Amino acid sequence: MVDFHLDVAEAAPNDERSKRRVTSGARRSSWVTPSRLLGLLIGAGFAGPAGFVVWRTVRLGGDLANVAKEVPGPLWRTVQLSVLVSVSAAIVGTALAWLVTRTDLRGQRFWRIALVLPLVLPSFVGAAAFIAGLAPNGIIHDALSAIGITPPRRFRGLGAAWLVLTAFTYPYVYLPVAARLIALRSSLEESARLLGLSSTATFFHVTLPQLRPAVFGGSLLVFLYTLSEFGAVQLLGFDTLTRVIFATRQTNRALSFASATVVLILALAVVALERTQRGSSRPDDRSTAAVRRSRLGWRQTPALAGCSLVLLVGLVIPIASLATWAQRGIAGGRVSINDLMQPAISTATVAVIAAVLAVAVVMPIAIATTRRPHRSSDIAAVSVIVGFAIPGLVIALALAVFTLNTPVLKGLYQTSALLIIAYVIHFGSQALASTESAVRAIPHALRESSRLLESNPIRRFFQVDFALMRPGLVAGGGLVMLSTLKELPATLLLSPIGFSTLTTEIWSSYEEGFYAETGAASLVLVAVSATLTWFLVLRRSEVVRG
Amino acid sequence: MLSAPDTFVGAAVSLNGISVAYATDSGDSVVAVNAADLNIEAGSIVALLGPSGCGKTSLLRAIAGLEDPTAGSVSIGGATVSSQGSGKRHWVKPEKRNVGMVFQDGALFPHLTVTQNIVFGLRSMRKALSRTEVFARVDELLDLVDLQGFGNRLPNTLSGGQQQRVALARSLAPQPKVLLLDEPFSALDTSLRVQVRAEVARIVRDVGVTTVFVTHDQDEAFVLGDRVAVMQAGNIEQFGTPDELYRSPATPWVAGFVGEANFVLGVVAGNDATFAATPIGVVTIEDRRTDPNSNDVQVLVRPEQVNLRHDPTDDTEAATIRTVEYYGHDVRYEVELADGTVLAARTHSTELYARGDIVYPSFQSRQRGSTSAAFSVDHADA
Repeated sequence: MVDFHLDVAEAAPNDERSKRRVTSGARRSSWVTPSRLLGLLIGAGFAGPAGFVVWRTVRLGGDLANVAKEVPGPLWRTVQLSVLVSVSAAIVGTALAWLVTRTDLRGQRFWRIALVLPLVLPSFVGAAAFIAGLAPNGIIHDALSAIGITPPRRFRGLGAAWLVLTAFTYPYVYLPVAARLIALRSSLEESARLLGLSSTATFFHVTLPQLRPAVFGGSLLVFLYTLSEFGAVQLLGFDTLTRVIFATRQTNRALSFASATVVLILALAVVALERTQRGSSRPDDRSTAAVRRSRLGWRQTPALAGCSLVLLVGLVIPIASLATWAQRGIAGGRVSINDLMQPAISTATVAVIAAVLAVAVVMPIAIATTRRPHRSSDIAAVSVIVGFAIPGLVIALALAVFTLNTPVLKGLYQTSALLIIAYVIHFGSQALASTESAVRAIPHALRESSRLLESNPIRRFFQVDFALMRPGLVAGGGLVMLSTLKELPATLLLSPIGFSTLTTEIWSSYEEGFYAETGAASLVLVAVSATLTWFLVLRRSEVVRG
Repeated sequence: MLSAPDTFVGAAVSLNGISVAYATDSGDSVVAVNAADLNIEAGSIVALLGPSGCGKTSLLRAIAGLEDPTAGSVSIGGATVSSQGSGKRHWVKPEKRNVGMVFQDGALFPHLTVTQNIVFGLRSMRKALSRTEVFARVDELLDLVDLQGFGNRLPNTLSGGQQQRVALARSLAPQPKVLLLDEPFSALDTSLRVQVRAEVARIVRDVGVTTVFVTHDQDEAFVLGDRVAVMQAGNIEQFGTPDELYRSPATPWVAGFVGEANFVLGVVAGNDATFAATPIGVVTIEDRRTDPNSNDVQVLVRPEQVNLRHDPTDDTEAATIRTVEYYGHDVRYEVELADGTVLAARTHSTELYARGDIVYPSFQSRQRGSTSAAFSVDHADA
């Protein structure tokens, strides 16, 4: 389903899947075992917010006239933006992946890594960077003026949102597609050539059908990302459903929940649609022979220009813009790095706790789906994915209203514990895929032999299982941590008073117009997330190593 | 059938001074094939045999146009398809060469059925063929590879052997002048491999297409190939019939690569230096590939040319049986001579020896091939 691997090296042997089929006889057995009940309980926790939103909407309903008036406009804009961004990210991501893996593009190794980097910027930070850059004294404003172009007065609306979101989300397509291209047997393409197809025809008739699952999977992530986007569209003045949910959450709760339900249905429908359309072909073989690279010839220059443009928009310009503001702030004594220490520490603490908790919570499900598959474990796994599909804002809203209205849980509201719970529900599925492959990394025979050698199950778990699973668990937890760092709307909604993270710091300083503070805090965030991205995603990635 | 000679005739392939080099990540260049010459007759089956990394696959890919040689020229049916080096670069794209290829993994398109895979190969001629003709040809091809009724299956529902047969049918669909096979049987398990390779041999002979295949398996090269090119480290060491390679190898390395080889030291004698005196008797030398000024040679003796006896003869030395491997139809022994030389011997299982027995090995001189090749002694690499 939603594939969070991007392409973090998955050591899982393929035969585990076929074994799963052999043992499917076990699926018919009882639902009531402790481990299955635990799995279902965890699954219920992940699907809970979605269920609560729907239930609440139905109970609060009756104000249909208001919904019919307020929802269609933002809904249309949300759909418009999500579709446009998914399509453009799919095209840009696939084209770049093809360029860096299948052609003689100059500086290929550099591009392979550099083109992943826009992933480190949260899109709202990117949007803020562009707006600040275009403001008087901003770097883009000055650069354009210097070459005699009048800088655009305003940078907002559909076009701006489309550009910014594409620039920061195409890596979600680029990474899995590049990984698939590296793994794809080049003999398929060579066969097509020898059967008389030109290189262009070969791409469309042979390569693209093989890439379909990767393109669809990546585009789905982009679609869900755009659907739940809050910060960037707010800054760029493009009014979508998330704005309605956020703005009316206290004044018109029925409308807020109805909008949340609409987003939720949209998200789940797209996940289901992607599942039926993606096709079943999975990487079955690693290519062994050297890949024949297409000669770009005269297209070398336009290709390099395209890559440079993408990198400029997605990384260089925003970072430069943030850096100039930050530098001015620090030079002018208006911003001190010390002020950022507290938010940085809070961010890191919350992210680490969320990551560890997420891995621990999905572990029983991962063990069940890989070792003792049963309908109950499938249901639990799908519930975890529901938690990702619905926007963080909707989860936060559901948790806030739920705790406020449940006397026993009232104490949880306005605590960082609730914020962490929201993160775990929203990003748990990012840990699930890696945790599953970590569990699969321990062959059955190894567990049996360790059982014969060490009788203490706890010691056995730490000495054998945990030791072998650690790389996978770190990768899974790392993805959760990375996402948590960049999350904005849930953090805004659930942060205890006086508790600030880097994202909330960036948001509030920007809203107050302190570009210098925005710049400094963003750079700290980018530095942290770049470090994590490097260690957890890129270093292990075939795309970078290959 | 497709075998009608007027529709399907193979073309001669000739390679002149072909070199292939790869650039490594560190910027160095690795030479895979070094100025190779090869002339392949129209309609024949040729094996490229060698250890892994010898350049055999690169050479095959150079014929297909999947590799861009750094020097030399390739022509198919008399027409130059690639030439490099002196003069203008000439290059015919792989899709324009009318060459079929079967890959090690079959390379069937996993998203297409068996029929769609084969129709893919008919693409180039689809304009000339009606829909019924296309499907008639698909049926013919499925018939040829004995897979009638499999048309609607997806590749991943077929066994490895069936996949390779579909790959063969697909590659033959556009009626190529040359068929290239890149280790097509190596992914199959042993018993299946023998069966599939016999079938492929039958089909390509029926069809009459010029066939070049790559293998690291000497049995496969000898069983299938009319002629075999033995390659090592980017060079073609020898090109000849299997019998020529086995009886009269060009170098001790080729001798050892195409079969088990013993080398015994001998001294050349006789008027024309046609005999050599060795510890296992006098050997007739047919090919003397040595320095004419030296009388010391190393003589190639195949294990089946070593005869073991209980009784001594005039010119043989005593030896001890060290190992016994019993195969049923024959027995392989390793015997150690007094000077420590170990010889392999293969004999019929009519007379058996045990470990530790004292025997007198001699050169078998009463059958065909009772001659041998002699090499300079400094060829110690065998």
